[in-house]
Amino acid sequence: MPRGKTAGTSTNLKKATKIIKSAAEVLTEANSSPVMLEPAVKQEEVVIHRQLLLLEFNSPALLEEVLGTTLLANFVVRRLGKTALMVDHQRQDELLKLLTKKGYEPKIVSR
Amino acid sequence: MLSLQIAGKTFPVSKNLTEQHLHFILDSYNSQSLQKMLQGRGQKVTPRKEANLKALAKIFLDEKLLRKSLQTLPEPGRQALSRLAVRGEEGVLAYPALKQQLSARHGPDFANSAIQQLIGSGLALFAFRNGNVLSFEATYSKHSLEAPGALTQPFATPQPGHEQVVWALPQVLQLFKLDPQIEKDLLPPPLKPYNGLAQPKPVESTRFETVLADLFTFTRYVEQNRPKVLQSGDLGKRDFTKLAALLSLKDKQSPQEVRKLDELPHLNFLWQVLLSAELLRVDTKTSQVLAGTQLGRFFQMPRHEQAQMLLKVWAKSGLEEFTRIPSLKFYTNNPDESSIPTLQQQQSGRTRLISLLEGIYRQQRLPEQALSGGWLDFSSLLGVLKESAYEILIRHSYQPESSNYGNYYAYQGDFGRGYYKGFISQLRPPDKTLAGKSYGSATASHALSLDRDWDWVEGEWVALVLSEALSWLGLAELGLDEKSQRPVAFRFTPSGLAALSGKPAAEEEAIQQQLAELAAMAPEMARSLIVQPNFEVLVLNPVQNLPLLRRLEEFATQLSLGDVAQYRITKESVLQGLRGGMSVAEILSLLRDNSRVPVSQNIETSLQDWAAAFERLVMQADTTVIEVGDPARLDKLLATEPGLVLRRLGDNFAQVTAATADKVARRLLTMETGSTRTGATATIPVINTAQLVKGTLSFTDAFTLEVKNATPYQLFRLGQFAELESWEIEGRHAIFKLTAAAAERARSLGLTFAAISRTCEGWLPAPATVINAPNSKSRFAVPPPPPRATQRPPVSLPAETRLALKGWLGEYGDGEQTQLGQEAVIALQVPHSELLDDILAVPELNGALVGRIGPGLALVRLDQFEEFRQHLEKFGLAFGKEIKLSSLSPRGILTESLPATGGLGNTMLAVLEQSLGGGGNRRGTRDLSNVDIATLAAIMENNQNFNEDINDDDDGDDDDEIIFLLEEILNLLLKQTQAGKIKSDPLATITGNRFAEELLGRVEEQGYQAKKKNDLYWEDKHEDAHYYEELSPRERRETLLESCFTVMPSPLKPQRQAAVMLLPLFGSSIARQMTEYLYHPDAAVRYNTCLILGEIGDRESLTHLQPVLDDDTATSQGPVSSAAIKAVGEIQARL
Repeated sequence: MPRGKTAGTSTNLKKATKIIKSAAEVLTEANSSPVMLEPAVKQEEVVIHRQLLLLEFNSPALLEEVLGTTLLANFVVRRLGKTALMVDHQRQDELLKLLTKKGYEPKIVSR
Repeated sequence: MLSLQIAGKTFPVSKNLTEQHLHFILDSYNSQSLQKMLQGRGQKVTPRKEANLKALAKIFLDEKLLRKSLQTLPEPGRQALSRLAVRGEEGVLAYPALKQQLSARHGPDFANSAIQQLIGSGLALFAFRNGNVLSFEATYSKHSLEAPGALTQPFATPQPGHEQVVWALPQVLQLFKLDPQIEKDLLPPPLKPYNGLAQPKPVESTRFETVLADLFTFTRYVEQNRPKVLQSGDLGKRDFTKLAALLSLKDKQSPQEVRKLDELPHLNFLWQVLLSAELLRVDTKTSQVLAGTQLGRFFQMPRHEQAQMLLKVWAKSGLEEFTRIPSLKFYTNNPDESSIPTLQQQQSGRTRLISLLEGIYRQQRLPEQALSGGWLDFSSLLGVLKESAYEILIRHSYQPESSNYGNYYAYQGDFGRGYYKGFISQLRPPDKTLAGKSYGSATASHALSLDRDWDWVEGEWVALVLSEALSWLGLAELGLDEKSQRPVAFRFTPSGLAALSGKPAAEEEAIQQQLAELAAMAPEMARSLIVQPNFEVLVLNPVQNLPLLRRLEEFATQLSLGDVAQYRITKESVLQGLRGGMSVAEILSLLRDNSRVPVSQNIETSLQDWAAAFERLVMQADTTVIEVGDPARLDKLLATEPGLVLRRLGDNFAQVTAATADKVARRLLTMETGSTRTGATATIPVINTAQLVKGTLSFTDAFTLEVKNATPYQLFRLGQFAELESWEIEGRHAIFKLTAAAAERARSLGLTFAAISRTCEGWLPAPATVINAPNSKSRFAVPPPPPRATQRPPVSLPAETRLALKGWLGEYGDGEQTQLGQEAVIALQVPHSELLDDILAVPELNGALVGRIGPGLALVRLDQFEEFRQHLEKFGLAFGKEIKLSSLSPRGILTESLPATGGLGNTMLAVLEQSLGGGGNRRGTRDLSNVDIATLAAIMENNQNFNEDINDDDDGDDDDEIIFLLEEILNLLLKQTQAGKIKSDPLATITGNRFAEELLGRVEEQGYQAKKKNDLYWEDKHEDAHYYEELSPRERRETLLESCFTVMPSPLKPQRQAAVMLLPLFGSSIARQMTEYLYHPDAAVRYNTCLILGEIGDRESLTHLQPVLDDDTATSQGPVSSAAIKAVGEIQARL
């Protein structure tokens, strides 16, 4: 008789059935800000935002992947586009450490 | 062009002197001298000075007599006159220079005779030179023509700032015919080859390439480790120990055995040279050592230029070698009270030495042997220097005594006029004639004569410079006699010759030529890298390829540096390069272009993969983004003017440059789309994410947060721990609710109550602490504030909110830990605590009590109360009417029971009153209820930590300690200003030694410990810390600035007061740093910053003040905007 655990134990099943959430879901669950996914200005308005910390991904899939596998959502102030996020500028170093630790070290670009 | 100043009038030197002028000039000589002059002209002499003076003035410029004097002038006098004619500037030479030129060639006695003969025959005159003006007035004494060998100088004492010179009159020079033999003799003396029997032994031999490798290693260490300098400006022990281990050339002493860097001469030399050459620099803000502006350029320069540069920066460096001359014994290190040259004199001496050596090379006066690395005679070098630059380091002119210490210093190396002060030679044989003289200390016979002992002082300095600095730079070597260990020879290295000539060394040229030929025949063989498939890179001839090495260092790790340098490329090292701004294309191209073998495919692939992984995510700080409500506007803009935005980030967002943001926004507003009309372009809303605006948040009830004009960042922060209730885009108005579920989410994000509390308090409207604005006319006219102001009540969340949030966030503990207990009991109140003490002592009664909760309060079990009451009544202790716990407690109960008489009791009462919102009488019990007293007692009994905190006056609160001296500095400054003691620059005064001494004295009077009193800046409290009194004024200035910045947001009012009053003293140089505080969340800090900027702000400050003009956050002094408006007005008025 083969030894060890058989396939399909409850743990593996749980892993297999883990619901994969979209980026929008992850973000709205992490934060109740009304402008997380929506514009913060009226239809006819144009607003300048200064001193943002921007995090850009080379593909929407990567954004989804990082949001799904790390605690990045806790740092996201707003989603600006499919590959661009505005993140918490006050916790830049913390975010940098988190992403680097998870294997997603970002390239830092100065203006 | 020289001019003469006679009897208060100035005229050109060429003007003919009248008899009156000559009378005035000759009156500065004593009677004997005048007689000699008259005799020298073949005139009769009378015993009366006035008659002699008149007679001499009359015939002084008589041509016949002049000719006669010239004909009869003896040989020494002719030599002296020849030097004035050939080497003098319009016939003028400094007396010491003339004397030394003669002395160097013919001996000191000859020199004395020569000058005496020249002046004695009236062919030249003593004069005092100040710039281009010659004056003759002998203020302190008369000139005298003493016999040769006299200890005193023959000329009168000059006034300070004047130099003694000898002047040959133009009429004399016109008549003087230069002897061809003497003219030949006057040619500069040659440098001679060394002709000793035994080969000299080099003191130290360093190749220039080794120096370069050491400089490379030093700078590489700094770039990789970014060490910080100490307050003294030097590297700390940890860093210099590591550096010493890395360098090829070692100091004799082990770095472990020394405390300071300057105890390691070679390492300190490299450090100073690197700083002086701007290959390294120290960031004044962070104290970090960083790459200097010249670093990249230096390693790309040709060898001879590198050598020249190092030579020049050594000359102007802050190194002071003189006091390190081993043969001298120093009694002091202070140039002000000795002959020790100042730093400026040493710098100028080094520069002069270099230019003289360059001149010798240029004039081809270097013997043939020297060009091929042969030894030269050291004493001939001293001969050249003595004749050409006798005062290269130390002035030999007589200087009037400036020290008031008189005889005291006679025993400390001051041997009187005519001798070097402050040191003696340990090598020079003692001069027995000096022993027992008036300055007769035991060392008097070792006194060094300014006339005769140049070799033992300046000569020893030249030897030191050759054996250390020039040798450590790999440019020259000093040779010692094997037996006597005294310097006998020196030689230049090929790099030394290249530095003097300004041309590449033959060796270097040959290498370059070989490489060029090799590159022509087989290009790959001329390349220096071998990139191996195992990710190792070998660099051949690394010292020849330092620029390449520096590039390689950016993305590869050095394994060894020898004849071949070995590097390894790893993922981490490549990422390091990419983080530093290199691209993978650059890395690959560098490897391909310099490798002898093709770069293998696996390396290229790995590099590409690592780079691709690295560049998947890009983080960019301080960006500017434009948000549009209607995406069609952006579509239109990108279609028509795509160059205006950097890139589109999403439907509604585009990234722009900070400078063009306004222009782009206005352009967008003018665009009409299907759903949007052209908008008004007058005002474009700007949201500064980093700016927190107080007053935008408010609590409508304990759990409802209302935010107006909310920024996305504010909404994000609130959204972390509260649920959105409603959102109106109009006015950006949001309502958030604090709920258990939201708090649970916050908890999962790792947010604590403290963090949430800080977030809310940052936006809640609150009265802020603002200190009074300093009087604009006189900053110090306002009396100083009281030492400790009462604290304003801190902004805090409503009590219910705090309780709920802490509960939801599990701050009181989880699960069973948070469960509260309950039991019904009866409260027993007694009029005196003594009664309760006695009740508790009776076991039958004690059993009915649950416990004592205060001095006069106890809790009785409900079911045993009746029995308890009856028991007491038996003893005549009847119960009165029912009490209310909240009613006032009987008088006296507190003082009898609690230690309220001391500082502790008072503090406890004060705390209790504050926590209960009470006030009024601090000590009495009238305002304290039973519950209050019970609470107080419970706190005292149960909370040990609380007791300790209150009890400890000096509880190690760093905030207090950091700025320990700051308030004292301000108080003392104000006191001295009011007393009229500060007349010039207050900053210079308060960082000066006298002020520091007074300051520390004041602190000591207050009974503080010595250790604390000296620490201004707490961060400096490490093993190498420097105490305040030990700091230099510059260091105090930096520390003071640092401390002022630290206390700008301090909660303590006196500290803020100090910052606001002291920071303007630093002037506009700190304006830029100050503007950072305009973005501080505390309105008081912003208000105070405006006050400071009003005094010191510049044009750039105006830009930063613009957004603050709309900052209407209230402070106790008014809105922040009012201070900003005032500041802008003041700056504009100044500009």
